[in-house]
Amino acid sequence: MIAGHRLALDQLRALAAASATAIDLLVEPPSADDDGWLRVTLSLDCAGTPSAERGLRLRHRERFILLVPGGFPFDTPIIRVPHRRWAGTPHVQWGNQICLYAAPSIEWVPADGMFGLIERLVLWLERAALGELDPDDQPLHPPVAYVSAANGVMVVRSDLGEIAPMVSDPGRHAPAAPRSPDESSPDETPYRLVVGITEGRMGDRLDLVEWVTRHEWLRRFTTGQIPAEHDGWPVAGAVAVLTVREMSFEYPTQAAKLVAGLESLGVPRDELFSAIGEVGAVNYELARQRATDTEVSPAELHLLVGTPSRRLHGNLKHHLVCWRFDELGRLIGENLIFAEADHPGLARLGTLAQQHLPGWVAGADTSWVRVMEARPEVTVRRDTNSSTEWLVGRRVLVIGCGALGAPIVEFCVRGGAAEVYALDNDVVTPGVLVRQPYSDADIGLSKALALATRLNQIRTDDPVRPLVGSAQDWVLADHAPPPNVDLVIDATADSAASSLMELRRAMTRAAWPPVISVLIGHDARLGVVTVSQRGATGAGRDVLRRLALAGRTRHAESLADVVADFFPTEPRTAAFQPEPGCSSPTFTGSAADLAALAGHLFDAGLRALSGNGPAEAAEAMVAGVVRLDGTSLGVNRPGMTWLCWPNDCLSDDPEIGYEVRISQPALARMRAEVRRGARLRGPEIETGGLLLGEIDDACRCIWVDDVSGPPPDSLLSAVHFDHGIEGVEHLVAYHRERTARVTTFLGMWHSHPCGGARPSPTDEAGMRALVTPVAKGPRRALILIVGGDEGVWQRWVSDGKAPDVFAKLVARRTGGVSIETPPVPPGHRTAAWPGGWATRPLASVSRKRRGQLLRRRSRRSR
Amino acid sequence: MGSLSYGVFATPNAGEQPSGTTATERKTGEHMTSTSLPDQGIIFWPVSTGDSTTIVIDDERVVQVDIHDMALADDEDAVVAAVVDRLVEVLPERDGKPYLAAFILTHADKDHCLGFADLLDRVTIGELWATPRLWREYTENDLPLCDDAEAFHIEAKRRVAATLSAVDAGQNPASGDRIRVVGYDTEHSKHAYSELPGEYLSYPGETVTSIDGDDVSDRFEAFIHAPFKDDCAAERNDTSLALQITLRDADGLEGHTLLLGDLAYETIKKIFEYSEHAERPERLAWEVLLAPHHCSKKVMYVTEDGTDVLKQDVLDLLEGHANGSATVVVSSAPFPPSNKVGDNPPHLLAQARYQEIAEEVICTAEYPDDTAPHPVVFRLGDDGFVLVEDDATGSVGKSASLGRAAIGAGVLAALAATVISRRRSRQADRPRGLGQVRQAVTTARGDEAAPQQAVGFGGPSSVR
Repeated sequence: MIAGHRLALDQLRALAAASATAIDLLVEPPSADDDGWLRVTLSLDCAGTPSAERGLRLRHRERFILLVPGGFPFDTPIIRVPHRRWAGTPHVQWGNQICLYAAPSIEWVPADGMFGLIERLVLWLERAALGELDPDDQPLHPPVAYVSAANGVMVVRSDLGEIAPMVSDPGRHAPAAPRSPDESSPDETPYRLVVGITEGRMGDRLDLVEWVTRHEWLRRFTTGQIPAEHDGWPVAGAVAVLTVREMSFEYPTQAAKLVAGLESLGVPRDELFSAIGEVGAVNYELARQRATDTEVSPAELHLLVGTPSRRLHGNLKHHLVCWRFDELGRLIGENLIFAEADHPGLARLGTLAQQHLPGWVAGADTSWVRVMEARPEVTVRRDTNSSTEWLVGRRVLVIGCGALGAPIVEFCVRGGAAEVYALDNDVVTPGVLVRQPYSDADIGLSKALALATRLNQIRTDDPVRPLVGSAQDWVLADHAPPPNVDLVIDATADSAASSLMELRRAMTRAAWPPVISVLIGHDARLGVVTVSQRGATGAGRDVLRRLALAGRTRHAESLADVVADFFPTEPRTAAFQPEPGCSSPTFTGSAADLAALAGHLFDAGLRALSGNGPAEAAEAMVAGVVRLDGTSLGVNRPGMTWLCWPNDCLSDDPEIGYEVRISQPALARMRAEVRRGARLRGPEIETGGLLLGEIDDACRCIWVDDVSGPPPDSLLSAVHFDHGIEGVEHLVAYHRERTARVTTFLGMWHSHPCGGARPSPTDEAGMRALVTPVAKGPRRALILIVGGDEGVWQRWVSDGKAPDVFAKLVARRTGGVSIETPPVPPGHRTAAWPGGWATRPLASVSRKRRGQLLRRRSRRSR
Repeated sequence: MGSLSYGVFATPNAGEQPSGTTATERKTGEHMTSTSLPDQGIIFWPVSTGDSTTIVIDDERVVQVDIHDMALADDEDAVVAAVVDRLVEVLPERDGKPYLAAFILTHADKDHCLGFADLLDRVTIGELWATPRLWREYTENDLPLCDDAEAFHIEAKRRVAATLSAVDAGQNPASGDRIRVVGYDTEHSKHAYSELPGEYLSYPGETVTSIDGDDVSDRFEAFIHAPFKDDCAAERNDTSLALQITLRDADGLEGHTLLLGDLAYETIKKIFEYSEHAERPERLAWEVLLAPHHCSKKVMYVTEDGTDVLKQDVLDLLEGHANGSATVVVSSAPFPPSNKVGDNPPHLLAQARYQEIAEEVICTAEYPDDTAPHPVVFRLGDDGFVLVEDDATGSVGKSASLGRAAIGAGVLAALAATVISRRRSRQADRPRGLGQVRQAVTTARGDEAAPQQAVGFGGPSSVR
C-alpha cells in the first residue's frame, strides 16, 4: 500500500477508535482499486441532527464511500454515498457525490487530512439537514451540466437584464414538482424564449454579445440588420429558454429528459422548437451569406437554458447552460420553419424536419457546452474593493509608456477603464526588454503603438488609444484645452513635462482632471507617487517640491532616504548609462523591481485619489513614498510613507503673469505675527517681515513657503512699516542651507490692517529700493501686502479666513533711475514700535536705544 | 377504510389506575382526548429481549406471532408489557371467551413462547402454527424445551390428533382444534402430523390466506419464506419460521412486514436470493422489518478467522427491497452503552447497520423512551405500514383492565393504548450523532491534548 493510502487509513482508524462507534469503518480495502483509488466505506452516527422541512433527510446512520487518491494528502479525497436518495439536491453531483469544497485549493488542508475531511463532512451534513447549504443571503450553487471540452465554449458577455422573466426569491427550495398551468397566477410568465446573438471567435468559442426578443431577432433579420459577420467573426443566433423556476440540480444528458423537464416548467415543446426553427433558419441564411464558394459551413445550433439558480446581492439571477445540437438536430432546426412554406421544395424539407423531430429528440444526447459567464449581473469582478475599482468606466491619460507607464496602462485596461490614452514619443529598443513589457517583435516600433496592440487583446472593446509623440505635442501644447479625461498619470519622470504641466494646468486649473505622477529612484528601490485632486493648487512638480522641502525640514529623519535618492544636494555623478554615450542616463532596476513599484505606486495613488487612503493622504495634494527595502540608510522605515498638504492661498501678479502660491503654514505664520502685533502694539499698527520661497520662471510660479516677523530694527506704526535688516542675512542663509536652496529669500510682506491690499506710494518706492543693485542684493523680490476692509481683516485675524493679498514681483531695473522716496508720514518716528520682541513703543525705550535705532535707520535711508 | 374512534384517558400519572370513576364516566370525562386508528395493523410489544407481535387483521381476527410475556418472569428491572393480560382484555370474544384467531410460533425458544401456557389457558386460540422442528426437538433430549414450549408442543400434538379424527369423521376441525404445520423436515414420516391432509401443511414458497378456516385473502396474506428443507436439522434458530405478512384494506392500501424469527446471515441471504431468483420481489417487500434475533449482528456479520466481517450484501438486499420509509423494529431490552465480546443481542453493531439502511430503527424497550415504553404500532398508509406516532397511542393504565368495549375502540386502538407502568432509572444517554463525530475528530487529532499525569525519567546515575 502506498504511503498516502496508509496515512489515510491510519487517520481514519484513529478517528474510528476515538469515536465510540460514532464513526464506523465498514470497509477497509487491503489495496487500491485498479484506478488507483482506495475505496473506504464508513458510517457516521447522524442521530438527532437538527433538521428542517427543506433539508436533507438523514438517517440515524449514514454510509459514505471515501475515494482516497494516491496523491493523498496532497490530493483531495472524494466522498460519495452508496445510494441515490440525495440525488437532485444542491451540492450533490452525479446523484451521489458530495460537493464538499467550493475551492479545494484553499479549503483543503493536507496537514489535517482525514480529520479536516470528516469535520467538513459533519458541517456539510448539519447544514444539509437544515437546508442551509444555500443560505438566503449567499450565492447559490448553480445546477450542474456535465460539459465536454469537445463541445466548445460559450462566453456570455451580455446581461440578460429586463429580458429575463421576473423571479421572486422565496429562498432556495428543492425543485418543485411539476405544476399544472392553472396553479400559476395569471400574470406570472413561467418562461421566456429569447435569442442571444453570438459571434464565433477563435477555435470553438462563441461570444454571446447581445440578447434580443424573438420578434426583434426576426425584425432585424428581415430588415438586414443582422450582419453575417462582425469584425470578421461569424454571427449566429442561439435560442435561450428562461424559466422562473429551477428544473433540477443536474441537467439531464438526454434531450428527451431536458425537453420533458422544460415542459414540466411550463415551456411547451412546440413553442420551444418553433423558436429554435426561427433561429436555425436565420443562422443558415447568415452562413449562406458568408460562404465564399458554394460550400456553406453553417454555424452550430445551440439552446441555452436559464433557470433562476444564481444569487447576487440577494437577487435571483438566471444561471445559463448551453446545449449544442448534433448535426441531425441542427439540420432539423434549420428546416423546421419551412413546413408551411409556399415553395414546394422548402415545404418538403420542412415537413421532413417536422417528421424527424420527435425521433431525434427521443434519441439525442444533450452535449453541454462549457458556459463561461462574463455577465456583469452574475459575476463579481475579482478586483472588487481594490483601488482599481475607481477606474471602472473612467477615461485615463497615461503620459509615458516606459518602465512605470506601460504597466500602469495595463492596470488601467484590466481595471476596467473605459478608455486609456497611452502617450509616448519613444520607440522600443532592445535594452528596455529587460524590464519593460515589450517583446522582441516590438523593437523599433513606437512604444505607444506596441503597447496598444498588445493590451487591446485583453478586452474586446479596444480600450487603449495610442498617442505617439511627446506630452508637449499633445496635451501640454500651447493653448491645448485641459485633457478631456478623468485622470492624468504622468509617468515620464521628465522634469520638463512636469514643469510644463504645472504651467498649463495652473491656467485652467478648475477644468483639469486629477493628476497622478509616479517616479522611481536611481536603483529602483524607492518610488514616489504624487496625487493632485481636481482643483488642487499644485500638480506633480509642486508636490514633489513640497516633498523635498519636508524631507529637508520637518521630516528630515523619516525621509532621509527619499532626499538622498531623489533630491541629492550634489547631483549624482555616477549616472547609469546603459548604452554609454548613446542613451540618456537612467536608473538600474529589474522587471521585478518595476512591477513591484509600478503596482504599489499606482495602487497608492488610486487609494489617495478615491479617498480610500489613510488620514495622512486626505488632502488636496498628497505624496506617497514606496520602499521596497525595509531598511534604508541603516534605518528601519515603513514600506509606505504618506504626506499631504492643503491647497495654497493663491494670488497672482497679473503684470508678469506669475502665480503666487502662499503655503498654509506661511499664511498661518503671517496671521500669527499680525495677531501678536495686535496684542502687543495695538491692532492698527502695521507689521510685516521676510518672505521665503522660490520663483520658478518655467512654471511661472512663486512659492511662498515661509515668512518671518519684523526684524528687531524694524519700525512699526499705524501709518508706516520700516522693514529692518538685523539678522535677516542669517535667517535667509539658514533657510537656504537647510532646504538645499529650495527656499531662499523671496521678498517682504507687510500688513495693512483694515486697509486695502494695495501698495501705497511708499510701498512702491520700497519695492524699488529692495532690488537696488548692491552687492549680494536680490535681483528681484516679491512684495506681498495682506489687508482687507474691516470685515475681511477681522475674519482673517479672528477666524483664519484668507485675507486680501496683493502680490507683485519687482525686478531690478537696468539703467539708473533715481528712487524718489516719499517722506515718512509725520508722527511715525515718535509713535513707531521697534520690531522683534520689544514690548514698548520707541518713544518709551531708553534714549540710548532709540538713538541707536534711529541712527541705523537714517544711515540706511542714505 | 373502516376506522373506529376511541378515547384515551389522559392520566396525569401514567400507570396509576384512575379511581372512583367508571369506564363510561371516563369516556365522557373532560380529560378525554380522542383519536382514531383503523382496524388493521401490527403491534410490536415491549417485552425485553424476545418477540411478541400482534397482527390485527380486522376487528374479529387477531393473530399473535410469538409471545414473550415477561410479566410472568417477575423481573423487577424489566419494563415490559403484560401481553397476555392485555390480549385477554382486548381480544374479541367468541362464546364468552377472548378469541385469538391464530398463534404462530416461529421457533420454540423461550424468548418466543414465554407465557404461551397462560395464553392458551385464558383465550381460545383458533389455529396454531408450528414448525416440524418442534417434533424433532421433542425427540432429541439434548435440546431442552422450556415449560411453555412443552405446553405448545402438547397442544400441537393434541390438535394434530383432533384434526386427524375430525378428518376421519369427514369433518373440518373445530376452531380451537386447528393446526397448521409449516415447513419441511426429512423426519416428517416419523410424526403424526405427517398424516395431516395437505391443507393443514404449508411449505416455503407458499402463501397462506386463510386463518382458522376463514378465507381472509382480501385482507391478509402470509408468505412463507423459511424454514428451508436443508436447514431442518440445523441450530434451532436457523429453523425459524420466516414470514412476509401482508395486510390489505378495503381501499387497496397494503402493508408488508418481514418476520424472520431468529435467522442469521446465511438463511436470510438465501431467502432473498431464492425469491429474487423466483422473480417474486413483491414477496420480499417490506416497510417494517422485525430485526432478526433481536438485533443480532449475526444477520450481517460473519466470523472469519476470529474477526467479525461485515456482509454488506445482505444489507443491500434488505435495503433494496424496502419500501417508502422503512422501519426496523428491534424487539429487545434497551441497547447497552456498549457491547462486549460474547454479549447476547441486541448488538449495537447491528443497530448501526440497520440505521444505515432504514429511515428509522425502533427498539421496543426504548420507544418512545426507556422509562415508559409504548407498544410500537403500525397502521396502513399510502406507502404501506406507517408508524402510529406516540402521541396517537396515548396511555391507559396497565391494570385498568379496559377492554375495547369499555373504551369504545377497535382492537388495534385498544391494544395500542397500553402503557407499561413500571418505572426505572433511565440509562445514561449514549453519546450520539454528529456532535460525537466532531468530538472524535478533536480527540483523534489530539492537538488539544496535554499529558494528564507526571512521568518520571531516570538520569545516567540511576542506571546501574
